[in-house]
Amino acid sequence: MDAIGSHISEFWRVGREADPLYVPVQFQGGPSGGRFDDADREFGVVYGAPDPATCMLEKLRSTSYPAAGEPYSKEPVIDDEHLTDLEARELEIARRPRRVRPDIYECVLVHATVTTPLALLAILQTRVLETLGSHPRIARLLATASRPHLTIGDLLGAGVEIPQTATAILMREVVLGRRWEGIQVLSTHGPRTSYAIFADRLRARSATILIKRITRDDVTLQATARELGLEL
Amino acid sequence: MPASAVQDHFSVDRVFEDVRLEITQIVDPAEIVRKLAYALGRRGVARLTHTSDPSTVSRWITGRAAPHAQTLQRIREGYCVYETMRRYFGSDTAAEQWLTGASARFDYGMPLDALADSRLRDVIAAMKADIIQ
Repeated sequence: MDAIGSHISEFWRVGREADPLYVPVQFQGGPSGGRFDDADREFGVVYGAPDPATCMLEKLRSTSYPAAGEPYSKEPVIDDEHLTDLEARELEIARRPRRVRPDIYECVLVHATVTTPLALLAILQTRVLETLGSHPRIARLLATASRPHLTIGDLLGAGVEIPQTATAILMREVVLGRRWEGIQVLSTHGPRTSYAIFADRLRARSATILIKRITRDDVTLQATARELGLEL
Repeated sequence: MPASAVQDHFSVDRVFEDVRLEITQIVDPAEIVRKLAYALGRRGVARLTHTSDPSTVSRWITGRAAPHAQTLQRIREGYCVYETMRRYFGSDTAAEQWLTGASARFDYGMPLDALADSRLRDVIAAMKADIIQ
């Protein structure tokens, strides 16, 4: 199985058109669920990357919960009653369902025009993500993602199951030649397809906006990679 | 709350001023930071104050360090906005998510970031608009 470290070069993330890697504070670190302003969890975010392990890592990294008994914060625990209370409070804040006015949904949809075949991973059910994210094996891998040879096999080893079939995503060639445009998402809710990188939970969805292509030298990507211990 | 009720009985300015006066009574910086951290989390306070390390916020809370006067003022403003929204919405969750959620009034950025950039007036205007809307 391929290692992430040697293959991650570019990936696409759904976000605001002007700044797709921008992540609001409520989703930074900690055990928050969802991405961006996916307030009511109406949309599942599909990650694209050259290999599925990267997608999985990216997805779970943004939605993982600490394993039972593990502290929410990586900060050194200070023996102070205020901070003890605060940690519990922060956990509560992070786990709150997000509420964002629907009128901004269209503004945070970012669709793709891709030129490289991507592996895409769609896990749309929050429950599945939370189950996976809190699995001790996954939690341990995410906490030690600096391993140079993390593989999809590591992520999905024995005892870890995704009780949802939602990884069948294809790209559709719409222009003669080698240009690929659009992403065909096989709906998990029936034999429907759409061409959006966002997959609506309730219905197939089509739209066309733009996406910023994140390249290897992107500053934020580099920082993310360093945090994950990946070499770009 | 109906717009008319808001306008007639609880103007944003009035509630904000009430909160501001209340927070003025608190002289211990640690307590002010603690209140806002309890509302937004330490990461939220760190973002508001352009503090790169949230553990700095922990030190403010425990009294092991004190924020700079200008930083403390930013924290006071943040708490005033949060508490004003909390009183209107009747929900600490709604108030926190209003501050940290994307807003069309800030080009889909966060009101919290606008506060961090010393745009209190803009944030108050957005509060009024969202409450009366």
